[in-house]
Amino acid sequence: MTIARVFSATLLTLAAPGSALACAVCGTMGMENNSGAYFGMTIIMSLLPLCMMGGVVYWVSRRVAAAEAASMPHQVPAPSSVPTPYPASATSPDIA
Amino acid sequence: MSAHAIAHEAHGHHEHADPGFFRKYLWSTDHKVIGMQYLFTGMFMAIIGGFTVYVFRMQLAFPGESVPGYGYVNATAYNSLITMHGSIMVFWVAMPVLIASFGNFLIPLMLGCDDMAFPKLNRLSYQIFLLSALVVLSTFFVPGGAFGGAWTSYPPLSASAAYNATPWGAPMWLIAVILEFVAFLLGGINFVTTAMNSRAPGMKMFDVPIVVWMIVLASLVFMGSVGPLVAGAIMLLFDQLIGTGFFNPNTGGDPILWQHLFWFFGHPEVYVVLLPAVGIVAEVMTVFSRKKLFAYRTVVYTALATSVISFFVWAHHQFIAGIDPRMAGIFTVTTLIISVPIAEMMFVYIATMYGGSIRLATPMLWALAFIAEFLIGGVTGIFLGASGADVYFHDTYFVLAHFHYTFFPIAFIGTFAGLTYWFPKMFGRHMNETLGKIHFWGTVVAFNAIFIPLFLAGAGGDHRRIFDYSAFPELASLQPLRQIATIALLVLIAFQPVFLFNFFYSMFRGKRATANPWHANTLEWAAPSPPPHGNFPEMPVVYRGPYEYSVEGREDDYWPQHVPPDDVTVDGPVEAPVAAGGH
Amino acid sequence: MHFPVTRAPHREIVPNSVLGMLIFVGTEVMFFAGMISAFTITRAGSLPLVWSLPAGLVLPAAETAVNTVALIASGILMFVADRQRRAGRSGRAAGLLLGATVLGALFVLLQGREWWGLLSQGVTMQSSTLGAFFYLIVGTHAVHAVVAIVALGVAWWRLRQGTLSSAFFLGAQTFWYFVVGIWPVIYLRVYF
Repeated sequence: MTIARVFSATLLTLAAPGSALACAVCGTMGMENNSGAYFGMTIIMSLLPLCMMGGVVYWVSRRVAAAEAASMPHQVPAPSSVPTPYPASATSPDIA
Repeated sequence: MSAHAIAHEAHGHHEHADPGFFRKYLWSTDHKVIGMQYLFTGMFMAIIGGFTVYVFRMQLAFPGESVPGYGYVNATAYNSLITMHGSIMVFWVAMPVLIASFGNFLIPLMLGCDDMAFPKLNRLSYQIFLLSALVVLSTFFVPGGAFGGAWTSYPPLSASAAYNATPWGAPMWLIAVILEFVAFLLGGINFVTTAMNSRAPGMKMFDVPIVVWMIVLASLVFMGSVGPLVAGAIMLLFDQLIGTGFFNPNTGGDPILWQHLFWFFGHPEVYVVLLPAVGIVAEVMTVFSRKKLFAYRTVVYTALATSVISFFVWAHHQFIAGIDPRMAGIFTVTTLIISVPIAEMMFVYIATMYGGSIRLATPMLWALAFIAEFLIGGVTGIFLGASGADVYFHDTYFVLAHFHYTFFPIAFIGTFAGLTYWFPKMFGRHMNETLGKIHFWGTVVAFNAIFIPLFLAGAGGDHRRIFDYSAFPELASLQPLRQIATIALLVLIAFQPVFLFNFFYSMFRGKRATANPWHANTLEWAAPSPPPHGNFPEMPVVYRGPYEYSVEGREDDYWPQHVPPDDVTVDGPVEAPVAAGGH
Repeated sequence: MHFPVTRAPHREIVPNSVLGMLIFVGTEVMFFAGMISAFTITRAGSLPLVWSLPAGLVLPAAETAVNTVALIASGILMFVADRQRRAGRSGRAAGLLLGATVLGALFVLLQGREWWGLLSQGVTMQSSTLGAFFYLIVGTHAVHAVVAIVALGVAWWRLRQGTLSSAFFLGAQTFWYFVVGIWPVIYLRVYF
């Protein structure tokens, strides 16, 4: 019950600012359209660069995995007694 | 100069005779020369930006009196001066120095390679940047004077010469800004590609020094956000030059749209310059605390988080510009959220210092000041990020003081930390510590004395963008605060020649520096000071992360990245595991 | 003093030219996204009479469909040309590449003819905001297309001479895919 009341109160609070909407340049006809377009474009413009970068990073990391698999097919993990973990990657590309 | 002597000797094969001044300094593809070009151009522009602020602060404190060195300031000139101060300091000082200069100088050195991935693109980047700087400087001398529409260039003020009274300055300013962004786009492509493909053997992603991470992330944020602003700038240019109506409501345009296109870039821009400064501070902090950076991966992840969230906050600049209030609510939340990763970085730096053996050399003082001052800037931002409080604070000096408490630490304190720290690497000589400390205290104390009064004035209702407050008798009681700020500004300016003298004197006459004077770990200190053409006499191999200070069981309290582990010979470290796997 | 010369590290996980071009293309996508979002918002907010083209004119969407098909076909030819070149058949690749270039040039020419028609009907950048956006967005795309076509022509010439480097071809190719790929978005958004 409490949850429902909190939830509905939150919804009301979210709806309230809508009455304060004022658009200096659009006629009353265009106001809701304009506001909706801003909303949609805000979402698209914010997510687009992140999606593109995410896509490139994903693709590059796939390439890296492929390159690593191709460059050392018979690589056996170095025994732990050899204290040189880093140079193992010196011959192969890597991206974490 | 010794730098060149070493450079020539190191070059081995003298296929070219002395290339001549212009070929060497204007047509060089060496990343260090290009970094220095950006640095000196940025310093020169900072002097111009400093002069403009001197003139208009004098006008504000002592309205109607002749400013020494300039003369009487009229309203149009005042508009031009504040516009030029803002745009020069952000676009032609902070960006070239923090990203382009440090990025160009540091990235190949810290990654252990000889140059950028695209050296010619890099040269082109500086040449376009220089052109943009010349264009923006030349607007001071065109009819009507430099652009007077504020650095945010909101239409309709910026769209029509009838409003901004600068028919030549306005389009030239836009062209300069577009050119400048093209220059940084080319530079950013270089940074990311170099960091991806040219790391030293053995250097994994999490062995890359924080400052390189930061510059690369900042470049990515820049490139992800700059497109809409360039689009908007072209539209505004058409509005100014051929009379289109993109931002003119009479023909169906939308002036608020410019604010979105501008701030879609403009707010990420803050993080574009913040991240390199934070990275510089990380390097200085670890070296002068002799301690491993606390939670290296956390810093990288928080920087990533900052970069991602920075795309979701821009509309907090339009809270009272007539945007949908429901959208304002969302942007309030995202704006408050972005303070979390930044605060986390500050805590990480404090944790890095905790228990370290701190040396209060000049770079460290600057790094500490960065954290202290930037925290004030961040905390005051909370008030402005809340859309309710912003209704009151909007367009007051509170905003201005908040902005300067973030940008001054970034653009100047961070830069001074970096310059004093890498000076021995850049020029092969030490800067004077005493002069450095005098400059530090003079600058930091004066800086606070400028902007704390302006916080108070802003909270008292002092509006920005007013040329002469004597027309507002209800704000007359704030005049002493304005005068304190202006006098403190004069003090701040008076201390800057100390730095300039120290910088140029030390460049030629300073104490000679060894390759690794601060006993630091990162790869740039493996190169000679100053690094020759090609950077490393022998290309380094990386064995460990960049912050192995005070490792237990070692004689030295530092362990450079390129030094092989004690029980492996220098000749065969790379092949060791392969051989081990063979039997 | 003579230092031993060692080779600088360089591991092209992704070729430099492709990575650089991808970053550049990402920026360009944001550039076009900025213009398209400006278009969308302005159209949504403005009143019909002050926004639309003068005297009941509409943008020629049907004619432009032909141009769109030509451009997409050019992109497909480019893809096949790359396959052929990778398979070592550079003669066939050169032919396909020439085809892609010619189709791209055809697209630009047809667009130019369309502009000529619109201009002669009095649709200019100043006449209405829709017209301004039309010339801005389509014109910016055309500038990109022309640059890319020049690059493709150079690539074709070098491929015939046998001097084409993979880096140049991959870079030009990536840019051409961008020019082809962004066009349908512009077409569907602006013309309808």
